[in-house]
Amino acid sequence: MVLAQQDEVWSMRRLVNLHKMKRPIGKVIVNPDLCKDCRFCIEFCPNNVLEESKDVNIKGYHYPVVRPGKELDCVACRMCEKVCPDFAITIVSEEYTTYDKYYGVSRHAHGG
Amino acid sequence: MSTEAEVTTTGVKVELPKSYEDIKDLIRVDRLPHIWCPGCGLGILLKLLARAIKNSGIPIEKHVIVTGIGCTGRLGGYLKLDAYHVTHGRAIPFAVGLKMANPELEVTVVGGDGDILAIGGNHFIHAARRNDDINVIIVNNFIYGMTGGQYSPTTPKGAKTTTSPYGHYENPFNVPLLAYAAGASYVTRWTVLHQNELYQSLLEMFKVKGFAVVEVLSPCIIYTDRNAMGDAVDLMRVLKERPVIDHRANLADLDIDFSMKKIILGNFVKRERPVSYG
Ligand SMILES: Cc1ncc(C[n+]2csc(CCOP(=O)(O)OP(=O)(O)O)c2C)c(N)n1
Ligand code: SF4
Ligand code: SF4
Ligand code: SF4
Repeated sequence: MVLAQQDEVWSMRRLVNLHKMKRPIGKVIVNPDLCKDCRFCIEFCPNNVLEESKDVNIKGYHYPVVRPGKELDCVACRMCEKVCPDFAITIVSEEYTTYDKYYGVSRHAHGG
Repeated sequence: MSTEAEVTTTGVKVELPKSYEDIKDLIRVDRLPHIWCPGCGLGILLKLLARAIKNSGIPIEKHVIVTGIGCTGRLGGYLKLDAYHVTHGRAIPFAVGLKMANPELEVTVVGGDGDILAIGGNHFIHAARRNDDINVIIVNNFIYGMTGGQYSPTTPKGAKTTTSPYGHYENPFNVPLLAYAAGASYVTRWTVLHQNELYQSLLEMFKVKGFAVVEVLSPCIIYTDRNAMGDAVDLMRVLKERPVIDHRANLADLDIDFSMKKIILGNFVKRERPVSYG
């Protein structure tokens, strides 16, 4: 049931001219040594792109890194940058993706 | 990337990212990372205030920041402009003096709830009464952060602090109502998450002739720690979920109580009153 509904959504979305619609892909740039591991960026990212690093910076804090498999999911909304109190994270967005490509890739990545 | 990396006083090599290009000449990069705790909202205010100063249309040489004591009082030290760090609670009289001596200056006080409303409470109400032409940003984190979590005049009733371990018995100030009743020309309240609105308020505050008060609700991990509210992220979530924006709210309804489901934010007051100094 749930799956069928999801498929309906997919097909509805595909009716739009998806191959022409573009959205930016953000590249996450972190300055690890400024980060204090407050987790604001991780919690407030609407796409759940970030997670804590395994490594620590020179002060012993974990810093945000892109979740494996989420490399194309940053939509460059800059929320992480806005909530960071420490100038530690920023977004560069020079590339774009079309929606059909993005959904293709991300469905593939999730095995769907 | 943008600026050359600077080795800071703390030994960290810091390069401000490209997105801070616009305010890089206003931030003391050599002093980063700043002293504030992980999850303190003050760093966010620092960025917004620097942007607002930059885009205020008033030359940077004319801007002056005055701070008293407390974590919030350290904010001026991260800005590359004339900033005075004065004694506890006395930022407002110092600022009024600056404005009297040189009315061309755009004088902004930044202080905590303890600094401005406890030890500095008298100065606050009388500067508002006279409607002196200065700006006051009150960072309300509901507690004395720097000294280890004593209750402040804005600590909500029932909250646990170092000096109220069984829950606070006193009623807190309703800051916008107090500012309005005392005579302020401009009164707003936002949180560090309502950045566009807060930024616009800061810009407006520079334009207002008279006493302008911007209350900024900001997370403090000392407060969340004493109150078993989790960490700063959890308080930020509260500041995200509960606010209701109502510019025409009855000022008497603006009390903040974390047991209630809403916190009212808005640009509440903008009025013209005769200005005493400035
Ligand atoms: C005359 C004087 N009294 C007391 C103190 C101790 N003291 C330092 S900071 C502070 C409270 C600051 O609280 P607040 O203004 O809320 O700022 P926050 O640290 O929460 O940002 C106190 C009581 C002092 N430095 N000077
Ligand atoms: S820009 Fe937006 S989507 Fe990208 S990591 Fe930051 S918060 Fe997440
Ligand atoms: S918001 Fe900034 S300081 Fe906090 S975890 Fe993210 S990068 Fe680090
Ligand atoms: S004690 Fe509170 S106000 Fe002070 S730096 Fe820490 S979080 Fe910020």
